[in-house]
Amino acid sequence: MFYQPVRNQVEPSSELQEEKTATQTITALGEMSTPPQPANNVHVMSIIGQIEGHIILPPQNKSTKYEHVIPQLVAVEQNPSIEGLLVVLNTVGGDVEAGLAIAEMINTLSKPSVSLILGGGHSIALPIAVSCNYRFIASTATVTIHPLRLSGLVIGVPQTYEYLEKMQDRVIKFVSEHTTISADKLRELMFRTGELVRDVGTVLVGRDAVSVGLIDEVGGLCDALRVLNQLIEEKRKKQGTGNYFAEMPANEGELRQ
Amino acid sequence: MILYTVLPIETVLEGLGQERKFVDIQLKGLSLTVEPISMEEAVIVRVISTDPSHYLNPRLAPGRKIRLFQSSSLISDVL
Repeated sequence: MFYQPVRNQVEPSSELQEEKTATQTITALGEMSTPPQPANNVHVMSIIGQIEGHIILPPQNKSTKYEHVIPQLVAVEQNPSIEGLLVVLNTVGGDVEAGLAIAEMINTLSKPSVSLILGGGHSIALPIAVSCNYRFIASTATVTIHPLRLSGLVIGVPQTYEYLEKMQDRVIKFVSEHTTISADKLRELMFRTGELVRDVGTVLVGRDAVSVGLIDEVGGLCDALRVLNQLIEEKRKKQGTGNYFAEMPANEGELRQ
Repeated sequence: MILYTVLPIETVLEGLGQERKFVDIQLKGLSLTVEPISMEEAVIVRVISTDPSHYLNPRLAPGRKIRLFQSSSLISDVL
């Protein structure tokens, strides 16, 4: 066995060492200070490919890992230098429970969040998109709404379908609670025929998603950041802390000494 | 597990049966699950930590390659 955990000695990546050398050079040259870098107060989270749940998907899938995203959201909530979250979505769906978990986490953040759907925000991406305080969709981006399906071995008893219905209701409930669309309208979109080839469901392109009330506005990057900065500003005013300059990260502070 | 996706389930799960080898290693006191890709390199699969700031560190993001160095004692063990 070559990769025994205890025996392995892992060295930090070369980049880490390069950065260290750069800091040492500054110290050695006796520079008083470097121009302070504007600390970024916005955290960008890109949700791409499949949203991975309990099973590690085969490597041909691009995936968003639930177990990495959840603690990252905790860090966003806890880190005082992060004031807002921008969620960029281009995803084909994925695990229902992982998706709903991410959506609930974003929804219960105390910091402002804005989502932007680019390309596609299909299936389980919808709850994630609507969990943010404000949602944008690119004019060419699409949202596919379709029913949940069971795959693999299915026991053909009525309870199976009741269970599936229950799972579907979780998604419908979350989306309808956080948007202006009613649960009935969403269900109607989910089971509409004639829109998808050989399938039931609806494809909403850009403006359509706004007109049914799922998304707030058609827009792009600058719109999303503008709204996020506005929300951050509003939150600051509400708190009345007057903290207009984001705190410097600890390592940058060391650099100035 | 229920997948709610627009992709056909066969496409998503294709190759699921193939065995992948993951190992847990320690990096400066931090536990990582990695997938070795060669004798020296491995790809991070998962970070195991209770410190949320570790998850914000781009150097520890899943999919990132890290270099593993074998200690000489290990080689002598094998030989």
